[in-house]
Amino acid sequence: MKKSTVVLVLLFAAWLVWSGGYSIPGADHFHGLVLALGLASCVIVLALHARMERQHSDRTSYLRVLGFITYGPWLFWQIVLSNLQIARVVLSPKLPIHPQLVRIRANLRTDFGWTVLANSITLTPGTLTLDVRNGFALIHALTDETAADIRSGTFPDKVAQLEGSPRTEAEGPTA
Amino acid sequence: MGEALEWIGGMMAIAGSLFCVIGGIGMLRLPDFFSRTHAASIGDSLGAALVLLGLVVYESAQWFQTQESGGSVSVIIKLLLLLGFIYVVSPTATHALAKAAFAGGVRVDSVAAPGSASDEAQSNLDGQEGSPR
Repeated sequence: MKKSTVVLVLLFAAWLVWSGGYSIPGADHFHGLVLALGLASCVIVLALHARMERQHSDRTSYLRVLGFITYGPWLFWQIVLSNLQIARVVLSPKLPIHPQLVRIRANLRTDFGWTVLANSITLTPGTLTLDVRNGFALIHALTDETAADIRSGTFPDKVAQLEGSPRTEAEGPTA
Repeated sequence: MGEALEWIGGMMAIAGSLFCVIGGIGMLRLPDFFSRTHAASIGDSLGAALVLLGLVVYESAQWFQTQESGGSVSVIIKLLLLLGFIYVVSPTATHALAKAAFAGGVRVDSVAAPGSASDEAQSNLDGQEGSPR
């Protein structure tokens, strides 16, 4: 119940941002009816979400999002680096590519963790997640350099940190 | 201060567009489906980020100049949320494409022997875009 209140507040805040009438001085856009309709649509979304939640085993705390405060900038820096790498490869006359498949292992507990891992790898140019199953991710790498980067295992470690473990939060990734 | 920020924002947007162009060049130059996907993600990741963050900087310059915060702040929040959505949606779509291609038997190695039977999907793909380099 408490969680759904938090979600409702977040949804309504998002709706307020998108409807965006409050920059106009004396915005009569924000009269009761419009606000009520906005709130009503948020409640409908929440009800639909609750139905989905019942089918869903992997309960991830919304607080986990806080982990992105450190993970986000790290990922963005990786994206910048590999963008420069791949841009250089694409523009060089010899086109020095060596496409290959790499299979990496990751110790992740939740679907959330796997989704973040697979999406992060795909978002980084030069590596592309093809498949995830049985504790492994199958990755297509464009060059030897990017293949070596992904084999080094920093990505799964960082995501494991983000995921955290139920009790031993401070322990860090297990080798 | 405001004018300097305007220039920085403009430069970032131009740099972002350059990365989008590089991504396009990569799409044309790279030989096979999966490699081209890598090039496409240049424009989706750093290209989009630089354009949107450039617009954020530009918009905060307006804020410095006019001191009228309401409009700029809501625009900045929207731009940042947009960036977040792109960063979630774009790899998901890329993965869906790549997984479908992989399951459908598109060859992974770009140096596959030409004319082999399993090469059919590959050659169909190349045929539409002109022959690979």
